[in-house]
Amino acid sequence: MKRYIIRRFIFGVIVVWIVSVMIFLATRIGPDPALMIASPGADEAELNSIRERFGLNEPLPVQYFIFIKKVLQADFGESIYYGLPVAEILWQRLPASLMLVGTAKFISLSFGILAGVLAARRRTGFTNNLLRWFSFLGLSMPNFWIAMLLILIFSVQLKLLPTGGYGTFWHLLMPAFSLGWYFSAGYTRLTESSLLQVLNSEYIKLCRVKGLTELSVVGKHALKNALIPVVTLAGMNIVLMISGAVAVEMVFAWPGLGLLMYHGAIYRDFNVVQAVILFISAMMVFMNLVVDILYAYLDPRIRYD
Amino acid sequence: MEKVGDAGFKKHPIGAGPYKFVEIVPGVKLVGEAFEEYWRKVPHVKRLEFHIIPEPATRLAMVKRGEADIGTLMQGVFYEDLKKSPNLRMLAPLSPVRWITYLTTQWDPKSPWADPRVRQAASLAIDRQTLADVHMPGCGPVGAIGLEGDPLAVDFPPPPYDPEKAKKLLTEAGYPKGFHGGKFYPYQGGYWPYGEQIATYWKAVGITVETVLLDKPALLAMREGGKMKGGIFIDNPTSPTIGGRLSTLFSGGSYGNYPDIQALWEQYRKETTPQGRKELITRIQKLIHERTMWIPLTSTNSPAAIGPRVKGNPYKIQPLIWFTVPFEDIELVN
Repeated sequence: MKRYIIRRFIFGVIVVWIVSVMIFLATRIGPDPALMIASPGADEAELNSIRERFGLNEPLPVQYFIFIKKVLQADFGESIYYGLPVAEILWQRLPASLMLVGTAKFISLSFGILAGVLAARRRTGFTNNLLRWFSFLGLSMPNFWIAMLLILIFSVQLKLLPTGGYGTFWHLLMPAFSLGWYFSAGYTRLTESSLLQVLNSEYIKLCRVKGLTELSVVGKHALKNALIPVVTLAGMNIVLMISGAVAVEMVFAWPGLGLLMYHGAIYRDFNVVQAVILFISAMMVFMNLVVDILYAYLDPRIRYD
Repeated sequence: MEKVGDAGFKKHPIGAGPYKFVEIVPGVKLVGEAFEEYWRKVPHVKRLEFHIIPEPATRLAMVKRGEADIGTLMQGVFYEDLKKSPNLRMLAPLSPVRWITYLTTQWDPKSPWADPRVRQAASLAIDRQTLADVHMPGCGPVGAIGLEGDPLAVDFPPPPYDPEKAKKLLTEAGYPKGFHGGKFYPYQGGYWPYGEQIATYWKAVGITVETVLLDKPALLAMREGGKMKGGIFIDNPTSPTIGGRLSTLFSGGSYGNYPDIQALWEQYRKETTPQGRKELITRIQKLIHERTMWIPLTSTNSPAAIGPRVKGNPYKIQPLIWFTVPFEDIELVN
């Protein structure tokens, strides 16, 4: 198990390094970054001063070496737009992002699993149909559209929740729901199909023959195995959730990493863009590692050693 | 600055304005508190908060709900929505931006755009009033790139919408069936529909273009890097004076010029007498207009949603500034 984790960790470091090369090249190989930063009509002297300020006049390998050396010291350079260290802005935005993604994950998983179990246990009837429709709707509508609808209903019409911004629990509800609904629909369908498969297996029949209660059969013996694909999907979905959060954060003006990346792209702040992407990729690698460890807990058959 | 250094100053700046710095969260909000000893007057509003809300629908909803008092940049559908909101007021100060179409191949004798009749046809093919009504309500057609009130700017009437005359001019120029005008780069993101409508007007008279939609970073990098050569793009000179505008269009951001206009421009730059400068820049503007060197399109504005708590017109002092200044003049009803 230990060797497996170390191996996966090294693999993750390589992935992050590849991402760093790709994002570095993407911001340098395209149009001259100095042209993107400079004001319209800038002369060569202004462009040269920008190139010098951001080290853009060095050869690419030297630029990359300086960039990666600084990244290893948690220094992502200076934000072109805000004029502050990128790392400082990143840490400032991180709690809001984690809070949003964490709450959306909690909403999507708790609802998705509960609804999936209910749907698997009751194949027909009103509840099942309602859950299916709810899942279908969540999968069909883009999250920014859901966000707009929620604002219209709960803020403008009912005047129950704040429209945008950050600060209280009430500010969090609509953004987290907009982000979580889509994913909860997927978890509902996956939990349902996976649980149905497990409920038809031999060991579950044995549990029933032994006279265990239905709650114990489903909750203790079946659900644990049925959740393996759900956990896998939940881990993989982290990155989708963070990238999906860009649109939700924009609509609700939620000050997370997504909004920071959006502003970075709009204001041509390539230092911010590369820092956010690198940070998200590192988070992704870490989450995958956590998912791998969870496998071992959920399924005793998995023996990595 | 000596005590806290550059980084410290950025975190807690001190100025001489009507509001004291309280808090900044970069890209999220800026909070200021009234400076009671401000020389001009004591600010009426004791605490000002500026929140960056990228989505206009959210900004408008916040003003409707009373979470914000002023929401800026309410363009397009939001402008119409705002006009229908009974509790809100809409104020739309004009911005100093003039949209123009820049034809980069007009100096290439082989290009159809080299013929002034073709450029004039392209100008007459555009229904500027509809363009403004649809995409920039409250704005209107313009015929010059200079601003009203600029003593050196010459005002020309906006060219009329005359597609029949445009077709006639194209026929006279040797393009009775029209021609392909090259790549066309509308201005970034939110303004793409504005550019697409221009392409539609041109198509109606026989000028087809290949519309290329680019986001702001790519668009500006291409525009400044000279990579739009051979194409057409929408430009937005922002300098408040005609001299500043021409300087941007003739120097760093130039894709070419006519030798006589360039010579006059060089003369203008060296000229020191006010009268001489005025004469030269007037001649330059007339030549630009006669040759349809650039196609002026419409003025632009910044419609804002004003909530019921705001008293009077917060734009009253400097109408050409996009945003609500001076802040010390903003008053609330209660």
